Amino acid sequence: MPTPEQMSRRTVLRGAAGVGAAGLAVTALTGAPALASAALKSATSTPRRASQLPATEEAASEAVVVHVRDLRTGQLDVYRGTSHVRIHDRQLAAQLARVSA
Amino acid sequence: MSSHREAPEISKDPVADSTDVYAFISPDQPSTVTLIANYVPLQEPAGGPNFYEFGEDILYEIHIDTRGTAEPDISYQFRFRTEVTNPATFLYNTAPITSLTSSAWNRKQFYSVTRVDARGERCLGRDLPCPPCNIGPLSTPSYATALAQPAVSKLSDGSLVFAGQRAEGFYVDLGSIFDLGNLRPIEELNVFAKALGLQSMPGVNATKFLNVHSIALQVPISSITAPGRPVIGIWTTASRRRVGIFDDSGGGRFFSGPHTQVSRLANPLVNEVLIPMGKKDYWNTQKPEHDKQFASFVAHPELASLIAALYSPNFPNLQAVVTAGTARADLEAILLTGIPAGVLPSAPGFTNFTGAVQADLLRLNTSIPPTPSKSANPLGVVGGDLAGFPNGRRVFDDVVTVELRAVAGAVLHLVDPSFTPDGAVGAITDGLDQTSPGTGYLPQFPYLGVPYDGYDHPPLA
Repeated sequence: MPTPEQMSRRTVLRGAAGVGAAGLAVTALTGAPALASAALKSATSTPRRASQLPATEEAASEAVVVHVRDLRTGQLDVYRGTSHVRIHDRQLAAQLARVSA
Repeated sequence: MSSHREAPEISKDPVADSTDVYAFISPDQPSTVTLIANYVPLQEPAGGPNFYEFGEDILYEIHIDTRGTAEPDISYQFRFRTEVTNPATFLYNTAPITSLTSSAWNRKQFYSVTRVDARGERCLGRDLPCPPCNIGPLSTPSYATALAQPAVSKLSDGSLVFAGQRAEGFYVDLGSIFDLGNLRPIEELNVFAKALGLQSMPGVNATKFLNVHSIALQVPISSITAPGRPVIGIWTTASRRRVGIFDDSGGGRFFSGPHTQVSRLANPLVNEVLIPMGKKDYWNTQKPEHDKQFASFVAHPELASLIAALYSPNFPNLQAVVTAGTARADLEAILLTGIPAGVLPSAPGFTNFTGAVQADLLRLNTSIPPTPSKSANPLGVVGGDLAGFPNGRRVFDDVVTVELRAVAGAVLHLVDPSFTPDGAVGAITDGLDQTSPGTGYLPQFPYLGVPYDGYDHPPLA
């Protein structure tokens, strides 16, 4: 096991990133239907007024942003807070495409 | 310029645009290194009512490679936030700002400093105050003593930090250089200027009376070097969140996702004049450890062929090197690996070599003491002053002249004895020196001068 002096900062960051990414990936994947549901509900309901939008940074960090990178393969980038995961879900991608058309 | 608006995308994003990096042994505190990263280029001092500031949504970092891998063994991170005292006024200040806590100052910025190294993350300071911009004698009286100096903070590890507006210390005749390399002092040699009958004239400092925003640290040498390795590599980056959404209902923006690098800088002028247009934005997103992919642009610089052509027939030996396609080992050493020991005949022991990894890092040998100001040469190592660029970079170093001469072959003979520098290479200059800025440098931290105020600049005359 390397001593702190032998470990580079990069080693630490790689380790931390690996743990974080893996944990969030699980959350995002198991929560994919919920994400889809939330996205579809938001997209199809009446837009909220400014006073109803998240006002604080904390609230904003709870928002989930989904980027459909490739509709054909179902490649999705999911952003939440300072995290990012890439998933593949062709059904969800197709649903999002339908509601955004 | 050094790195002001040096790439298409970052030129549209000034708060994230790194302009200069300095790293030198502090002349008045020689057991410390001063690191400075400048952002927000070309500030007209009279920039009201919305004066310049750091980006709240940007992660600013200064990185240090202590092991020669071009990876960041130590990073200092800076995060800013803004406080608006009274959103009901359009004014930056409603009365003279006499202190950093003045209630008349309507838009204050604060920041945190975090050190990241092998031991993890450590917050060294939070809610540290930035000074206001220098507005004028009514709004910011006694700027240097009442506002700027109190904004120098001591961190929890004893280091000093400053983040705020400074006078631009980098000097360059931008107008001449990008007008087909028409260096005014030798423009009678430029083929196009000669055709117009132009004659030699003094240089014009395009950055005179402009300000910039500096992030400056003064840290003990021992805290940023590895045992037995006095040479460090330094660079800065700015990173933005991966996603931004403009919210038309509240006038604000929403950001999400991790930070991604949008700007970086180490040696002056690398992305500016060595990296081609089609690669500049990409270069800004890349880490130095991957710079081997750009090494050919350093080894075969377009600028060398331009100098030979624009000043033909005054650089026949340089033209021969260009024609032969000879890789420029001199530039690779200066910019990508550091200078190995034994290269400088006058100082064979000198080195700032970090290893075989090719990476654009500003390399500083911390074992070389600072040169007293009276004998310091702004041409740095080329001028026989080992404490100057490219051994780190001091605020007054004439990096434009040094790099133009180097690209023109001034030091190629040190690594290729068969090469003879052209006689004209010593005449290359944009005609400026450390006296060209509109105000002097400071003898103490943060060394860059007091920013020009908007009432008096540009001057009446």
